[in-house]
Amino acid sequence: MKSIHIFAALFMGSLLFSSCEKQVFSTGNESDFIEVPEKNSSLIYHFSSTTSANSGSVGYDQFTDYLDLYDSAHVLVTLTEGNVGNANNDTIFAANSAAYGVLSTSTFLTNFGSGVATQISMQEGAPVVVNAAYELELTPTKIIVNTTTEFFKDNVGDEFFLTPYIVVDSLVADQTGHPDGPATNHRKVVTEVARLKNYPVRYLGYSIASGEVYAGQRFNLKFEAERSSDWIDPEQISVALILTKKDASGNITYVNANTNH
Amino acid sequence: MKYSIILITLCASFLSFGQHKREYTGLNKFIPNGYDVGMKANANYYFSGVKSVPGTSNFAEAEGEERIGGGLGFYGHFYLSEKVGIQTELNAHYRSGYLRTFRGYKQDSMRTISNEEITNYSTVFFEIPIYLKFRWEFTPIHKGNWKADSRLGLFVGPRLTFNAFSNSTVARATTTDSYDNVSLSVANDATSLGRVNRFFGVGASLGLDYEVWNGFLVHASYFRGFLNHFVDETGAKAFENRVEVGIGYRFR
Repeated sequence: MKSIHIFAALFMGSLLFSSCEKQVFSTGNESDFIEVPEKNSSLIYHFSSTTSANSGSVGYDQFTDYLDLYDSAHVLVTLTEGNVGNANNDTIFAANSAAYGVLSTSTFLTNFGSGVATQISMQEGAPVVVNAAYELELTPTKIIVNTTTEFFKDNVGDEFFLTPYIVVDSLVADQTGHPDGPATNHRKVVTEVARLKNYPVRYLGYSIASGEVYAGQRFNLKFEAERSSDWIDPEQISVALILTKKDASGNITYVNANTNH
Repeated sequence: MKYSIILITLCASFLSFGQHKREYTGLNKFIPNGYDVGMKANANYYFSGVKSVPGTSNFAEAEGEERIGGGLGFYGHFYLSEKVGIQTELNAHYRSGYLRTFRGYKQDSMRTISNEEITNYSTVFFEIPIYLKFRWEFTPIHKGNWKADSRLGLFVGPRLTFNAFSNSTVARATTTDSYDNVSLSVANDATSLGRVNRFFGVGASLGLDYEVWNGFLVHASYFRGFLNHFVDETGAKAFENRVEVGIGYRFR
């Protein structure tokens, strides 16, 4: 009987090994990430022209109203055609108006579609797939944009893009149709797209993910843009981070946007 | 369907209990003539080689390890002759371990993502072996005395496995090399896969038991699975390769 008892003790002892600690990854070498909010925001584009009377009157007032209503929670920018100082705004205006079939100014698109309130409501109710956040480093001649992009849902098969537009608020330039004329205060003007060092510029977004992406996946990208000597006040400068993806037909669809409000 | 298979197999395993009983007493008074019934407990050691399932990745690796698990069950042995019989068992096995998989995705010349996952799991299997058993009864000398009722058994046969329960957590570390920016993102407890092992498996076992004294027995067996037992979502595949060692008791 003694041998049986010994064997039973050995058997029970062996079961104790079953309760070993579970394996995890060390977080010691994890990169420094910017906190990314798990929320959806909408993007309002105002297609405007400095030589369009409509843009300077009704369009200008409507954009100002939208800023009052939505700027605290959403991303609003003006894509401007015409001279607003030392900016690359015409190229960005042309790329976007061609991509979204905009033929006249002033035109508003919300999340690349029409109907502001409806689009905002739909976006707020949609699951958060991905979002991005940024921090700015400003030198007298450079704008450095450090970004973190985070996925909140698993995704297979879609290709995602990130567009970091440099947005300068309160640019003073001429505007047809506006009572202030050459002293018109242009609001939230996209002046440039920030660039990846050593890689070609993309005006409608840099490809950031394709194939399999997982909830919780985060990565950093560092962008740079030239800073005009006219953009003196750091408070004027912000970034609109726009996340898009290609649908099955190859069309660009809106996913999310974020800025530092 | 799955549960029907279990039920049918269980019924088949114990069909032959509807026999006449003989002169047994105690627990054995419920056991028909020509049968032995008992219980077994074991510790099981898993040592399968784990391979990767690349999926859509460009390169993949996998490894896995299980801790020593435990099992408990019942057996019934039907004598076809004095030395040959059929032994069926119903055993529950508890096992736990981890899988570590690595998948790399080269999206284009500018971007590479590598995804490493650790899946910690625990699982309970119900297993039904059906053995052909050869048995020899002899009387060895122990400490100078003859010791009656010692039996040596050799058994071999197929085994069906049913994964009744699984619990798992996935820890994930993703390295993104994108436009010369390298980031390491870690998410321990990233998600849960639920079932890590496939519901059904089949394999074969070979083993020995030895009844030491008064119905107490020791046993050892080797089990080899014929099917991949991990679900595809784990990114790994492996065939069961397991040694079991334990003790038992034949109701007398």
